Amino acid sequence: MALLKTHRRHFGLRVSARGVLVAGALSLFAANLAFGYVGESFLFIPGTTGDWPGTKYKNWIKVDGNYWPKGRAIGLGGTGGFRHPDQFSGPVSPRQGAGTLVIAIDKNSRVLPELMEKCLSKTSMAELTYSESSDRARTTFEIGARPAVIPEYYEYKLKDAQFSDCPLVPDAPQQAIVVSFKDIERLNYQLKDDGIEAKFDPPALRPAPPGRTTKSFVLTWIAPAQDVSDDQCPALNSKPTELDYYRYMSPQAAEQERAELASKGGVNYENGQMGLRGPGKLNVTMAPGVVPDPGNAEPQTTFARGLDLDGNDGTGKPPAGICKHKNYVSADGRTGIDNQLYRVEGCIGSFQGHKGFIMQFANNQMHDGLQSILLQITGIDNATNDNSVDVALFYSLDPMAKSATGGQILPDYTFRVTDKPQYTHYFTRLHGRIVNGVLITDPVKQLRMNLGIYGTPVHLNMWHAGLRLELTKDGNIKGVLGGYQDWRVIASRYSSSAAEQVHNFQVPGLYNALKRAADGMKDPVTGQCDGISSAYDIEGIPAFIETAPSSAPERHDVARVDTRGQ
Amino acid sequence: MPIAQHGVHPRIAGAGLLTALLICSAAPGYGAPAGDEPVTAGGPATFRRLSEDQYRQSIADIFGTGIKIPGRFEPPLRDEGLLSIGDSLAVITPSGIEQYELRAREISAQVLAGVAKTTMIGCELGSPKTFDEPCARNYFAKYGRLLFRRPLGDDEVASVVNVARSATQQTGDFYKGLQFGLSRLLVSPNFLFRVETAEADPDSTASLRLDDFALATRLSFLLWDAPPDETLLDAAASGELRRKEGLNAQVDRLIDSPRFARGVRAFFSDMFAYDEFDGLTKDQSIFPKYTLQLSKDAEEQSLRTVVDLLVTNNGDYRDLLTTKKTFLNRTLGSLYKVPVHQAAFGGWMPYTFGSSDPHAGILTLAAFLMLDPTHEGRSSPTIRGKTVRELLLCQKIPPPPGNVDFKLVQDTHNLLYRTARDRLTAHRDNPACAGCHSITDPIGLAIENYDAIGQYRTQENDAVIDASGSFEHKPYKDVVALEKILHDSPATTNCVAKRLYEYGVGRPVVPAEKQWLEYLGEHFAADQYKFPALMRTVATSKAFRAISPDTLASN
Repeated sequence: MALLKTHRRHFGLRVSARGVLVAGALSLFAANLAFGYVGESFLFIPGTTGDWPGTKYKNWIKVDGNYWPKGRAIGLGGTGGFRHPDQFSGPVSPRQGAGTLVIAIDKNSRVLPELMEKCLSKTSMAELTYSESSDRARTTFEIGARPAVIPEYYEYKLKDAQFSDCPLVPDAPQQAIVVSFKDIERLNYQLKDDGIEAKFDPPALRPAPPGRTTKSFVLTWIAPAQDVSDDQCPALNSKPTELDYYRYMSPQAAEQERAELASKGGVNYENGQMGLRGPGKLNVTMAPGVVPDPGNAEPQTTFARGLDLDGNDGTGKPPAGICKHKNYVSADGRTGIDNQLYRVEGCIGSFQGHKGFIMQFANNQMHDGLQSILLQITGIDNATNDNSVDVALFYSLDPMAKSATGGQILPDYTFRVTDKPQYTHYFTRLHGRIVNGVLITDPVKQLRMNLGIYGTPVHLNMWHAGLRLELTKDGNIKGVLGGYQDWRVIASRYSSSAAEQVHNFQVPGLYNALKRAADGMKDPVTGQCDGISSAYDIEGIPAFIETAPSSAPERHDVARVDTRGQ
Repeated sequence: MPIAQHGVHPRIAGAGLLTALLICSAAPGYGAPAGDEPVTAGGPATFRRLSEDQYRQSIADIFGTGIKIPGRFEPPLRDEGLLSIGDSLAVITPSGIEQYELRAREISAQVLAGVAKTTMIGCELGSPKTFDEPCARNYFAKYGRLLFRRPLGDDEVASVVNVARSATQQTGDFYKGLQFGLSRLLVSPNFLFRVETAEADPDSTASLRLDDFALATRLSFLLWDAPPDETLLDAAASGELRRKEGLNAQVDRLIDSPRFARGVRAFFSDMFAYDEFDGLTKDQSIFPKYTLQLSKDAEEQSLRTVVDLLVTNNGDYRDLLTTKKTFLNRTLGSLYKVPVHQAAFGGWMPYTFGSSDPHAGILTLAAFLMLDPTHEGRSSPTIRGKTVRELLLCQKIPPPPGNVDFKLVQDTHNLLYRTARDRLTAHRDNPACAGCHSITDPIGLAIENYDAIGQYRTQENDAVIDASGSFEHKPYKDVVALEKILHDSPATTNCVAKRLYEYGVGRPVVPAEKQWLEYLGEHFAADQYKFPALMRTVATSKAFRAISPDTLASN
């Protein structure tokens, strides 16, 4: 998760002094880094029949990951200033001229031998066509949906191309191929590279039931439900070392570079240098599959918080659309808890729930006034048992109030629902029931939340999502939000050695762990699970909501899926 | 700012309640016609130190609102229930005069700085380096009148002109010279104190009367809490205030002005002891919602409620005890656990508590409920009852004996005595304590449904709070019912009338004014307890101007 040093006010963002200090101390991002692309893209070589069976790009070559080494820099912080997250950025590819594209091909691809032959023989290819998803090419800090004017896939002509390098790395799950070209032509995108304003849908809410009791809350905590005790992670994950950096260099090259870097404090994490530890200095934080999986420590426990998303406790054959996976038990004895993301991230220090500093930082920013997330339960007849209630999620730019010591968020404040499209886009209402004081919502096909510019993540996209919240005796709420996230979106969030350093993990390890752990949203074309079960801890205190948006008629296209992450 | 407490006057101690009851119990009856104003010899002239607010307002009125005023002000002095009376006893200490001098220099420098100074002096200078006596004379005459609230005498003008001349010669700058002269005026007792001078009253052999400028000052500080403006000073100079029609016209002008609200706020701030908000603290581990801002908001809410009822809507004073109409901002909405609307964000919105809401009247507003500087972690029914008796009913409660054991009362976690009622009942077993507690506690216990910062509660330590009691043999089930009883009590209206008069004249009433106070109460009733009308009655009365002949002897 990147921390940003920013001095600009952006739709309610205010950086507390503490936030500036933390961001300054960490300085995660220099101004000029691109992001890795995790997920399918497609290559067409005239005369070569590829392996993609899907309808779109049928028989093209499936590419599992890519990055543009000299692509357009996306300033996210440091001295580069803060870019608007409500933009849908354009391609990071060069607009014209010579360049390179690094692609990663699954070693099980039947087309790989032909590609390797072209590489080894340095075959010149007059023209290649390459296509990548515009949603996947965005940074994960952007919010909103793709405007209609932006194509679903950016398509390029790579002219006078050659596979200039294809280093062999035993045990790596993917093969890296460096595609060099003398010119590039964008076939279907001519807008400015910085992109245009993203599309924000107006709120699509089912009408709230009239009358009866309403209970409203402001969320004081929302973060992945990944609390661990020390004994559950006997070994935490750790960042790469200089040994990893020099692994694929020749002894002479390594010696020379060591000497050069000696006066500079060694290999630099913050500016991305440590990421260039792949063969031929390939960036393994952007193409994590081209080096062997270094492994990923997991929590040693059978307990986790979350929801039973698939109606199965892990025994027997998994249900349709589900990949076999470890199921957990909740603290109150419920089996079948699906939270594979906890399994992957639970032993990464920064991500450890209430202890994780990035979770604390994100929530502290909200406490300091970045934004307030509101939850409203309407239609309550009986707060202990009620078979029909609605739950809505809204946003406000009114700050939470803190006690004079700063240690407590104060209840009973009124919050005005914002009408800014960057937030109304995320308004949602779910239907549920209350059983013995616990609110349980029916799953919705897609639930999206704006967790703020420091959120984990900024834009949370969950499928088959629902809430399970206890209405506590002191009037608060406490529970979980559960659902599937696209694991490839999670993997692309941390495409830098700066992130590896701050959070103490390795991108290739995380990437492979996410891929292994993915347990839902099985793609009928690939047969792979694209979704990973996850859960968020939610805590809230009583609040009042001013002018909740009027209930719009239900829109059937709310089921239109945000294409990012698929 | 700490308050310097004045001891209980011997003539009040022990019999204070009885005396106050006698003064306040006159019951003229609603709507009874008021007779002619009884003759009164008045009381002594006063010599009142300007409060910090009055000082600041004076500078703002005379020189503009942009003048920064540095330094510390001396703490106020409350006597006989009012700061306005304490101002008559307050002095300026040596360190205090140093602060006034500092302020005088700083203010003068700002006033005579920049391009505005050339227009401010009101004359064309030959050279700014040389002394211009006619210009200096005009300048000091003009601003001296405003600062001293009367024209300067010839010798006073000459004295300050000499200071300015000498300073000009030494600095080579006429404006610097004027600064020195202006500083001289700003540290003069004639500015820092409201000096009242008396003259023979042609209509009375029994008393003297304030001279016209002293009367103008009394009127202005009563109705605006500010020095007299040029119009009022001109009226004083022309003798207009000696004529009934002229006096009425000026009083009506002041009451009709938007500045009248400030005067009303100042009076009630004094009467309700809102100066105690300065430095008020509560235990934030027990009351996390308490902040300094909350206390300021509570004070402002209360004053807005008062002004809205009494000035904007010209309502019945007694309805302060029963009104459900008030004002809220976002912070107070949280305290009262009610939603607020747009206007409350960064401002104030009018709000009416619902019929089923337990809030009604000022005794259920946070300002009254939290204003106990002696208890940071709990409410005190005794203090609250005492406050109601003393501030709203003008009934003096003697201080406790020096050897009282408060341990039982203070132990809020004692499972044998879960509520304040339980603890006080046990405490009252001591006969030395029972007398006063029987006067204060029933009132305070009615308010126990509101904690020390004004949050409503039904229980204390899991025990249901019993807020019932009786006042003057009339039972009530809670504070809202008690407020209705207080609403109808003559003591309530007689007290505010008495307090207003004392506030205006800057001294306690004297026994000879008993009949005049009854007249005032009758007038108040006849005016349907409208507060502006009460102000008008006091301001236009002969008593307001009367000075007892003792003054000259004692001075």
